[in-house]
Amino acid sequence: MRIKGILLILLCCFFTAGELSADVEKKKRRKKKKKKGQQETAFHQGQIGFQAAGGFLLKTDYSSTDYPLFGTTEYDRGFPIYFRGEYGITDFLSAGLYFGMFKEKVTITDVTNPSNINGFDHSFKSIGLRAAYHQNIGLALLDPYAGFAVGITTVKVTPFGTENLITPMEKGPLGFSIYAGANVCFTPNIGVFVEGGYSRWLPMISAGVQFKFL
Amino acid sequence: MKKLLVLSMITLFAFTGCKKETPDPGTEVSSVSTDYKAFAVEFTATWCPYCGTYGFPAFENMLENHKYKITALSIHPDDDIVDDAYPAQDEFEDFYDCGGYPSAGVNVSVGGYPSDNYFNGQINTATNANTATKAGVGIASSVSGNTMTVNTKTVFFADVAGKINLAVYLVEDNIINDQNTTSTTIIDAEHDNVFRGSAGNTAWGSTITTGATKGTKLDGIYTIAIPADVRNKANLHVVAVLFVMNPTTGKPTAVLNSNAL
Repeated sequence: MRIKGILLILLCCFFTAGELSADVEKKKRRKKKKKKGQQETAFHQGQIGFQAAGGFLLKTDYSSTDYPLFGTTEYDRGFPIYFRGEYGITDFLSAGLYFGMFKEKVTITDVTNPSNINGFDHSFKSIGLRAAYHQNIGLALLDPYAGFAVGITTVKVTPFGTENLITPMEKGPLGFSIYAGANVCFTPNIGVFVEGGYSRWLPMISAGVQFKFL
Repeated sequence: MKKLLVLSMITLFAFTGCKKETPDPGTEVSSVSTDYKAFAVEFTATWCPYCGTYGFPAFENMLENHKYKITALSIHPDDDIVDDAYPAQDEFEDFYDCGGYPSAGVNVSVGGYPSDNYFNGQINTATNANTATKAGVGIASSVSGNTMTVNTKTVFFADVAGKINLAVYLVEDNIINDQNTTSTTIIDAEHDNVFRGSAGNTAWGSTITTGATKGTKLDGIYTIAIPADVRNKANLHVVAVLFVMNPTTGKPTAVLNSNAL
């Protein structure tokens, strides 16, 4: 089901981009502002962009285990948040900084003994550098890209409760991830983006807004 | 923009759908307890006067005072509640050294006389000795016709050596029946945890493993025929007990854990 959701998001992104692109092209043709021979691009050298996003977790290290076996399971899951800034080094390469974090609390209440409560606090924080390759596809509104990130990353699982059901975990300090996505510009300065990223500890799909200048 | 809105709605619906996975309470186990529950038995009868005066109130008090720390069987011979003693009764009475009614045992402690002090002491001793639970068993059950089907999941929280048996019992609660005492009759006494048979008709169940390592999970499916003397199927529940067995005598040497649902 999650895969279905992810595919739908990506389809939504590209389909919407195509629609928006077509609309804007029509407007431009009507206004006759487009100069003959000049190619429109959604990403270019010297561009500065800032993005803020929320995420959909694909999994966590602790989400695939069978906690429901042990009782009623409650996930107090914070929304993953993500900020990044990037600079266009060339017309097809960008580099920048990112910060992302995620927290959740999982509580398992024994259905045969309500006072037997176990669970864990799980947190993920990462700050670091990212670089991306931007593919110019000739559309002024769509900027597909792919890249990698490296940063200081802390993943921590702290159990609580009366029994040692959960194994404590602390990982870091260096984390890597690869990602791919697309920026979709509504105006030359404002747009949205969707990005799929994979790291060993927290693969996720994120979507958010972007602001770009120059 | 309308298409964008529609597609966004579809996407949101797809993600919302991911959360609607409702477990089937009849087959999917969600009751593996990491807590220890001692296993208590009481031998009693509705016609037995000393049972009504001593055993019956002590057993009911124990069920109330230790309800999250014990599983229990109230084992009756032929009386107003049980038409014919169940096949496992002899094994229980032999092991727990039941020389007459009432009589009681907790875990593998035998030959007790039921009283508040007896049950409190035995249960506290058993739970204190098992603060680090080595295994848990979860239960899911469903009734079809006159058959109770029980799905179990046994999880080991530590390495355990020896022959491990899992016994699955059927019990009935809320049976309203007069109880004789030494001085009078308790009218419409409520009898709980009345033993109604076991999977395989045995007292100590069947072997599920001979040693297990931490993290081992074992599934089981058991069926128990619901006997004709059951008053109300809606009041049936299941007790499951993990015994460490003596391979030579075929009798239990310890109760690893137990559970009821």
